[in-house]
Amino acid sequence: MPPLSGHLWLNHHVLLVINPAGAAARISARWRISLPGADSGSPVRAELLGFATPVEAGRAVPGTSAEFACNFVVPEVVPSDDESFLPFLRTALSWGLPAAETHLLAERLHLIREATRLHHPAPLFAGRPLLCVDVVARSGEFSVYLKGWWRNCHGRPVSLTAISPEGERHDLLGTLCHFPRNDIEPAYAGDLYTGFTAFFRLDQPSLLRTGWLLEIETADGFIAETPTPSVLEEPEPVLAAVLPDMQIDRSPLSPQAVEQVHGIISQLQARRLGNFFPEQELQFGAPPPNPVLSVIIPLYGRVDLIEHQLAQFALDPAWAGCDLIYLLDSPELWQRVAWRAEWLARLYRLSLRIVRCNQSGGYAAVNNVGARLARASLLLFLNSDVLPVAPGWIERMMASYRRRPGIGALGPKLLFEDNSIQHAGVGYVATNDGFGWDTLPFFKGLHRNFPEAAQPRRVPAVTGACLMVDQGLFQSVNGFDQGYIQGDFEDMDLCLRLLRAGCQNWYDPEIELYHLEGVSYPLAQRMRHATYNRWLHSHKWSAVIEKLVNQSDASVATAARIIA
Amino acid sequence: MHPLTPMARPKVLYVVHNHPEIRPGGVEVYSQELFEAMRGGGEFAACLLAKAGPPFSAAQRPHEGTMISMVHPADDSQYLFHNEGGDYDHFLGAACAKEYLVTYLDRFLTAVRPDVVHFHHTVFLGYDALRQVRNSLPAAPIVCTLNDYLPICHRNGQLLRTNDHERCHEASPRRCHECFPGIAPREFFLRERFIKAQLELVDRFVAPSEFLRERYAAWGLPREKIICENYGRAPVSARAGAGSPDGSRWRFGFFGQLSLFKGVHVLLDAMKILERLQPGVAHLWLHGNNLDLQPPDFQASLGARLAETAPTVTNAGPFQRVELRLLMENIDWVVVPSLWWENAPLVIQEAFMCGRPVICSDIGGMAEAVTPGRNGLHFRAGDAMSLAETMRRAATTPGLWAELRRHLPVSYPVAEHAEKLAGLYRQLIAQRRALS
Repeated sequence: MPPLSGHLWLNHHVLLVINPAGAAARISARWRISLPGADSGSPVRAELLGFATPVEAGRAVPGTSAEFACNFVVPEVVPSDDESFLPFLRTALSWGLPAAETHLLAERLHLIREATRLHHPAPLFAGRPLLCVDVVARSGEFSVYLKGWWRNCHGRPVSLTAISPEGERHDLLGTLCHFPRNDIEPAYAGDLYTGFTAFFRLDQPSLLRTGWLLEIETADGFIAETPTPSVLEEPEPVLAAVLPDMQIDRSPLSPQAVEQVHGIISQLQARRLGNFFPEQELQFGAPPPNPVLSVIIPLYGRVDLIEHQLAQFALDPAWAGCDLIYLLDSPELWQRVAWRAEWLARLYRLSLRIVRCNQSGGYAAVNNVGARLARASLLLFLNSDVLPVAPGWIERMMASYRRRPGIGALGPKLLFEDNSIQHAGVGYVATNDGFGWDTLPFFKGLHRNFPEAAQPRRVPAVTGACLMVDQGLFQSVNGFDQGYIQGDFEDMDLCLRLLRAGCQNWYDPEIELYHLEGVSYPLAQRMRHATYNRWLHSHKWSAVIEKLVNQSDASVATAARIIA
Repeated sequence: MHPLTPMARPKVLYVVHNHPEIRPGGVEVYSQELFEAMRGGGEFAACLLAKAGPPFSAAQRPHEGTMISMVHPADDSQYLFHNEGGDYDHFLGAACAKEYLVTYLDRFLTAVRPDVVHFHHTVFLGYDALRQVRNSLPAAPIVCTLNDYLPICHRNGQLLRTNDHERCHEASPRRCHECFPGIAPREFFLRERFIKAQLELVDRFVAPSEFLRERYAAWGLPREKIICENYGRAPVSARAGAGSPDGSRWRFGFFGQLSLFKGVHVLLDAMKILERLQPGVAHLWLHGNNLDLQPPDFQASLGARLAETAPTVTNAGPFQRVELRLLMENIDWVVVPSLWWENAPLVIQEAFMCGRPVICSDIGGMAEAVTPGRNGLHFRAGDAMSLAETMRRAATTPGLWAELRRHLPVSYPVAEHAEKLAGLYRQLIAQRRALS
């Protein structure tokens, strides 16, 4: 019989034998369990991890070959309320467990939590819920965002504790921020509800998607617990659940609430983009030997737009000298795009590359990959819903860029499909909505030939829908900021960094293209992300933006000159 | 015969969306006549490529994997091109599987090596077939006859708005979206940009009417690229006789599709009014087809009108072009009451060839083809009262019929038409040579 050693832990008459060998079930031996301090007359149950059936000491285990009465030396006893309990348990349970089996470890921890904890009643008072969790979102294994509400009938709780499935307890009262939840009241008329959000970091990793608990202790000593919905981990559901908390009931932003949203989302972004890379690249047609311009076009959702662009590009001989790169940001459409691009490249006789990344990355991440793959020293970031008005624009745009020393970013005049102005440079304007500023798209919606929009000018920023920048310069300011969600403000951010680096950004109406704003990136989706992105932009650039806003006045034309 | 030896004749390739042997539509018949005239005695040798298979025919390609087949075993100049009918984007007018163009159309073009390619339609092939011709034959001019308004109007090129069939004067993303609320304005913008990018490759457009030319110029095609040239037609055997034996002029005929756009319901309403104005004299023969393809509510309302006008209207059913002269023999006037602008309606040419003056709507290609008081009469399009009055005036004005019949334009023979087109081809070939 191999020597058995292990850890025992005693609480509430439940005995856990944690057998590091894992194969205990197959050991045919009589075990005797001796427990320090246990009353010999009291009933003692033993649960062996890996065994399905709880046994009483000294009795045979049904379904196993072993008679269950073992002599067991207890080397160490760690009480569950001790600080070192969870780390101890984790270490103990990891013995003999392959490193990859983190999920099995988590499940064992959960088993132990369930077997050992105090079970409290459901939080009901007079038949109505007292406590509820709406959202548990996690980024990675440590960062948790939790949203819920309590009923105000017992006053403010004296404790509110989140308990991870793996048994870690985290007090929320110290850090949560709360707000009225008027939306619940119609359902349970007559009561008042307090909503709360909390963002915290666990000490020990958590992997399980079910099993979270929230425990409440009211001022009159009532303790209850409630289960929670499954944990959200995937970026899209997390964003959908968390982003609305930026603005509850359209009331001004609570900085604390915003910080909590920022906490989870920045973690999410960093985590997801930390593992973002180009996985496959296909070249169609002979690559140009010395390309003068790399054109970087993300494809998102509407991959049919590639055909619309190529049909137009084919009419312009300037493309012969261009390094054209399409980056698919909808990886699930790769087969369709690859097949289509091959035939389109042959039909339109254009040289192009298509690149697939390992996942969807959003505007900044995809364009940064595009810039890294670019072969030319001049870059043009172009949206897939931008179409030329007429051939010749590429050469004009490159010439415009080259004749302006000190230029950072260059943007053209962009037109909606009805020939009104979609883009003529972007600035900032003062607001009283809590942010203190808003972006000011110059002359948007006005006539194509609106006089002030017909002059080249220095502007605070230009849109990323069609943005030309020198590759060296772009890299020197570290490319697009990947903290923004999906495709908003990255261009503003880049332009502000170019300004800070001493460059000027230019708008040149000599170059005209159409931009079907919103086709490559649906507006509704964009609006969901807008508040967060705007907040993040403020957060990063408040001083600079304030200066820009203060320099401007209500006149659009003046606003356009503020940077000059 | 042209003085050049056959070997030295340059070659024109006609591309059509369908072959008249499969379905004898107007454009198919005309393009076949042009092809025959050109290869028979024209300055250019001619070859014809017609799209086959769905939706016009259920016939599959005879040799799987081979996209080209012959129309007749004995004819070395007529071919069918078998792409799949479903493999066509009806909204954009683009080929979905570019392989048909890039591989198979290219193989045909580079084997046949025409000096000119003349399209009669790109429907079911794709506007991007133009791009493939430019790729495969960089030196060959591309000519394109504009037979309808399909590039401008997604509603089958009818230029009639969907809500009330009002005639549409201008296509725009917003207005097209109003006609098709399920399709966003931007999609119409993309459609127009796509089609124009392909049409950019055409060296010369042929417009069969001034009206159509102006519509395309207003839409944005360069006016100088569009020549106006009517359809030349193979002559019918002879002019029909001088009309009814008793000398009355109360017999009217309608030839064409029994559809709402053709205004056949307006004509039936006019017959009802006419019967009130002057009972028991007028009679109408409807020579029409495709009623079964019309929307059910239109079929029902037309059925009701036919029942109401039963004693004065003969619904004669479908007809063949070879029967035309005989059918016209039986009537005095051809009525063309279309609600849409039309292009250059072949039925008007055919009426003139058969010696029949025309009463037509006062709009578009019809108004252009018929000079009121000289070779026919106009009425207010869509107005049954105006039509009834015009029909009564036509029948009751002494000497009017004979006067109009005297001034019917002489038909434009297809041989002359082919000669004119050959001149255009020659000029375009020289221009392209000078460019390269």
